[in-house]
Amino acid sequence: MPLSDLPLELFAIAVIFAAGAAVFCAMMPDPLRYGRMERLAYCYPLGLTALGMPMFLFSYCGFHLNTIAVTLAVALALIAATMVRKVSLRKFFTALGESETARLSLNEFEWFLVVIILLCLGTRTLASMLAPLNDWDGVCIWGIKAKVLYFNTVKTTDYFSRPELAFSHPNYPLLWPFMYAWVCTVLGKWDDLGMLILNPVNLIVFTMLLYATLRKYVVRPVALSVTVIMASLPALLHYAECGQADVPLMLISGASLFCLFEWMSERRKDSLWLAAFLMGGALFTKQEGKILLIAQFCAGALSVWLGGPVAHRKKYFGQLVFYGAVAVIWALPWLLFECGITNYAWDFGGTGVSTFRWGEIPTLCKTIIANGLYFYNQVHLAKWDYLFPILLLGLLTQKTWRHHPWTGLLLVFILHAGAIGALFLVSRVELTMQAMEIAFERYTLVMLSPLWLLLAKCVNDAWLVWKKPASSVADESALTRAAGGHSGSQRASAR
Amino acid sequence: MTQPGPQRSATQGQQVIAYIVLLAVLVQVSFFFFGLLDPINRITSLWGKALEERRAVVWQPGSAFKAAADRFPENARIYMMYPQPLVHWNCVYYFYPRLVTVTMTNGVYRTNEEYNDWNERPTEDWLIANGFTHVLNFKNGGRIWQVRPGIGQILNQPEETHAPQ
Repeated sequence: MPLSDLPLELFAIAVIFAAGAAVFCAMMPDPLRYGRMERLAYCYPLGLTALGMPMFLFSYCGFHLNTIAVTLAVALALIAATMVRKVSLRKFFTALGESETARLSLNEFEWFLVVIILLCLGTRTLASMLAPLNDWDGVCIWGIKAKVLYFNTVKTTDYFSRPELAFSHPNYPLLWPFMYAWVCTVLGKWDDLGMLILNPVNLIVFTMLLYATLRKYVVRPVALSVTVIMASLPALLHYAECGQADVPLMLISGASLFCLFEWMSERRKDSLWLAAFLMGGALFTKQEGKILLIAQFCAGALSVWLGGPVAHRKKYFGQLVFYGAVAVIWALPWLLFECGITNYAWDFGGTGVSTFRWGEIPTLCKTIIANGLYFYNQVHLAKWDYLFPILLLGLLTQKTWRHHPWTGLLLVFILHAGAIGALFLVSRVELTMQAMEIAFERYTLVMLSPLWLLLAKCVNDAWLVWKKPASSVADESALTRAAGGHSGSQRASAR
Repeated sequence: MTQPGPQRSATQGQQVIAYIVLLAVLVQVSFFFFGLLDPINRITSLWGKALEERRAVVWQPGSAFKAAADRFPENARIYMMYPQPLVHWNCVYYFYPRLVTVTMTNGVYRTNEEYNDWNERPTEDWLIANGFTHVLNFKNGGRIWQVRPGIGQILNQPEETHAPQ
């Protein structure tokens, strides 16, 4: 990548952040309720979501992406939103959040963890700036879509109606291709290296979001440790470079889940609106977004059932229905357009109970377990290290996660994994490790968001036991249960 | 009133478990090195190389496809004969915005069987009528012909009439 292109690439990213800031201000009555880093981090997935659908609609009407038009629209939206909320841009991006206080200095261990995070993200960023688009899915599925949208429009291209291009899945959503096309539009040329500048940003922003979310519920060393595990996860670092939509989906759906979890914990409506909007973005990122919407909706419903007073159930269910409606409405133009694209069935042809391969369930289970436990994959790349055994150990030995709202997180994971497994069972694909490993790795990445929170919760419980005198542990456990998963002292110490 | 004895023993058990969980997390944290290897390997293999060299390092066929695509003008319309799946699919990306097609009938080409059954040799009239500029024949190592009057004779040569083995 020529360094002269870097300012333009950063400008393209800045426009995405600005679009997200406009949405954040518009949807949040009090944007400063969120911490500084959290505000900044949410701007990116919100910006992706906010830009993706209008880009699709304009392209559908025959308009090419245009740097000046998009920038002007975003600038106007941002000015309007900040004026309505009476928050200056400077304050929005620099002011501390309401709950943030003077910074505590990090100890040696915490500095060590911060250095690891920076090292992993820094090397990934540098590597992404050197390697042009190269992987199969990146080139033949997402890259070709981005190229079509850069050189043509949805209205003028025949891409969606050529059966010989069925290999590239024309019915896959277009948010991520539009973002690649957007960077190339700003650059003024098709550049399949320059557009990949977005890839490390996904990882960096998800790291920031995860840490900011964890800090609400767990102490700093635990939040940093889990963030290190996430940021140094071999599979994630590998796929963060590839031009596929799995890491973007992980980011957008993860951000949505974090907001939904806040609503499940504190019933703040504005968090739910953010979650809904982000879920709309997830629906426009990958088809898997539909599964995620159902899984997260069910988790929300469980939280209403278990976590709220009976008198408020109707109100909370109403909010949850609104959440689903907002997500679907935002993605509706694409969902309608998708219906018109002929799907030339291949691997996933023949869905239905009659084609469900019941006899393959043991093979699928064996493959899933192997995927979680194998240290290296078939191309000799490390995968998950020992994440899943440690997670299992935490879940089996710690107890406070078994209460509302934490159980909802496990439900999201179970429903997501179950739905993916069921899809494979109705498909014709071979369910062996050799055939499915790479696909399973990418699906697993998207499933990890709720597991990070659960892992942090378990580790935090262990941390509290370790840190506190033996006699106060029982009191702490009782407090935690009474407070529905996170005790007052935990919240206080997390601050 | 709480019974100090049982509570204390339960707490000790909790402490042992807590130590084990924290130790396991510490071990996992210390494994950051395995993740770091992936970007470091990328950087060491690509640092100091020109873009096309790097493209060849990360995926050699991609570099070859791009070099082949650059030989055609951007408005080229190319008909591919005797296509192979991976070659066809990658060409669609690397050749774009040049039009690449393997079919005169808007046929579906998705599975290996469908490619093996390929039998859509274009006629001269059809190529000219549809504005095609080049024919790319993957048989016997690959050849390129410009579409012009008389190309029909080349396309109908006997050695081109059979699908590759």
